[in-house]
Amino acid sequence: MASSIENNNEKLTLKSSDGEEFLVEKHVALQSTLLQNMLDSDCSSADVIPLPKIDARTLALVLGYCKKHADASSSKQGELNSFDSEFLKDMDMGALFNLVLAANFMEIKGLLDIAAQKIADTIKDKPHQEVREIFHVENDYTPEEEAAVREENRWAFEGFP
Amino acid sequence: MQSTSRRKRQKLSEEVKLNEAEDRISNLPKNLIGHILSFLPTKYAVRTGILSTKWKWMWTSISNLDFDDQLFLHSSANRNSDYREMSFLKFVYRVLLLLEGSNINKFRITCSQVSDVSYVNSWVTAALLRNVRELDLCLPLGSSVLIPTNLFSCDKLEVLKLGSGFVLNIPSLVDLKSLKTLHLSLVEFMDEESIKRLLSSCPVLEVFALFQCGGKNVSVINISAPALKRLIVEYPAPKCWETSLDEIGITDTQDVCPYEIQLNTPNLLYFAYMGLVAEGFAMNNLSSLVEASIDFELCYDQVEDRYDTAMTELLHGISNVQTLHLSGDCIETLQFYIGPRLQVFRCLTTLELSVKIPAQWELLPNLLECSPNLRTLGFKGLMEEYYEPGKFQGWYPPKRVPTCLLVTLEKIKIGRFRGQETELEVVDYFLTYAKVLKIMDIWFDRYQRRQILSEYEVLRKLLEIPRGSTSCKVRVTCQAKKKGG
Repeated sequence: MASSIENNNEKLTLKSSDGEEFLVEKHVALQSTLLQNMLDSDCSSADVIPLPKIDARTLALVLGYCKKHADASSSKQGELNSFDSEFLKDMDMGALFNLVLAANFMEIKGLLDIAAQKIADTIKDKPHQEVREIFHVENDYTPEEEAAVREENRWAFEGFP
Repeated sequence: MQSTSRRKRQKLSEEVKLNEAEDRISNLPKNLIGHILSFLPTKYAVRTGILSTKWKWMWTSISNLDFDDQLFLHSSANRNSDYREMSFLKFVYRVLLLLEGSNINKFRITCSQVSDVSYVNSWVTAALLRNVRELDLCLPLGSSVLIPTNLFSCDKLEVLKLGSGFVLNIPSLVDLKSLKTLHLSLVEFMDEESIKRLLSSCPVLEVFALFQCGGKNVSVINISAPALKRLIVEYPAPKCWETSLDEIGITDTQDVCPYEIQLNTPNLLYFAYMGLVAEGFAMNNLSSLVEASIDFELCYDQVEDRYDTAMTELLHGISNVQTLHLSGDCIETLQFYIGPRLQVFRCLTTLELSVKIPAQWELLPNLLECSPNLRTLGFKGLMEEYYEPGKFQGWYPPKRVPTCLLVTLEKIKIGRFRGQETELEVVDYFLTYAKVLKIMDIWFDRYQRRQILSEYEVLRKLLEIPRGSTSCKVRVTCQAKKKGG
């Protein structure tokens, strides 16, 4: 018997960690290397592909991104670039981390890169004390250890407080 | 009732707070953190080692290396230069030594001081051993470092960018199987054969940018590349402080790029030439060319026939393009040297001009007459500066209406419109005589220094102009204020 995907008019169903199901066109799903590999190796005969690490809110965002990129022709690069820069605008840190994890898990390179870039931009140009505050990283170095890290990588701290 | 819901809300907000305070970044998988840190200059990536003990070695999983010895050094500017150089070199070595992965995606290094050039060889070798995909190197001008030869037998390299300080000396054929993009900027060529050999060793090269490169023993720069799609050649007039350009055969008194540029690029789609007029252009095999952009810098001092010949050769080479961009200086140069002998651009459908001063309008009628199939005409701005009305004869309406206005011209775009008298004359002319015009798109510059007319007055004047094409729309858009402008 043919797989459910073929029966289902080139669509497949993804299920989020909180149980919500998303019906996705195949060409949209192919933006994800993970799903592409699953389809290629025909592991997808199950009716529903569970994504236990991705919640519905994040999955909806991910699929929105995939749809835009799957539907746009290559000649519309400029349009995609402006879509990408709008996509993450004003997104809170929590959602951004969910998104970067989802893109990493589903292997969606474009999305992974723009999300990683956004997080990197938050770190850039800021003194490490401020980076700790933004991301709630607790400093567990002793003052001596911290001084040693600084000394080992001296040039990296040139020009910084 | 009220108090319960308030208590609920309070509890909810506490939970949110708790979530917000969670350290999520430290709990990401290490390879993902490495990926994030790869988007930072390596200096910043390594600095994250101080965040907490968990972060001490996180940076070692980065796959892009980006070193710039000038980055964020203002507070140590008073230290002596030897100290700064050593500190930087040690840092690069330490990173290369501790890096975890077996592959480097990008390796970029820009340094303003390197007293021992053997370092450069080690960097390149370290990058090649890790199958680097993109390599970008720039040394101080005049370093005269021979490019390490092992670089030219790297079959994984896809992007190579070489900046100042390098000498290109390629004695025999090399092998750059995967190279798709090549940028050479202020690179000295040992001889003419070197650049020819390099390009013929790149069977899949698609993009080549050549910025101010040359050599004392070079008079011809031959660009023969079968797969090349985009070519950008730039020879700006050297500034007086750039004394060390001597090495690449360019002196500060130069009024012409001292090389003959030869092209043999059957698959080229886009060609841009910027700067001084070259000694000569031999434009062969350009049958695929679709788009060209020409931006000459003006050199009035000497009027020589050779400019005329070179420009004619260049224009002849691009005569089949569909899209052409010309700068104001270029139009002026063409007007000066070529004038009424301009050739016909049969296939040209889109022409974009950036006009700076009124005198640059002179060639326009001629250009339009030579573009019989033009559909779209764009002006990046009708005038750069404000000219007092009547002081300059800005607009020279064509003596007879160019054919394209009667038959093909459908769209006109005007950027940075200020509502000056000359600008309105231009608009008036095109609206009146363009018989098949469908749309005129005007971008009104709201934030000009001197407002000549109010937006309302400009619109009123535009509405009064009679239209030669009954179906023509005029769309006026106010340009948004630039950030910080």
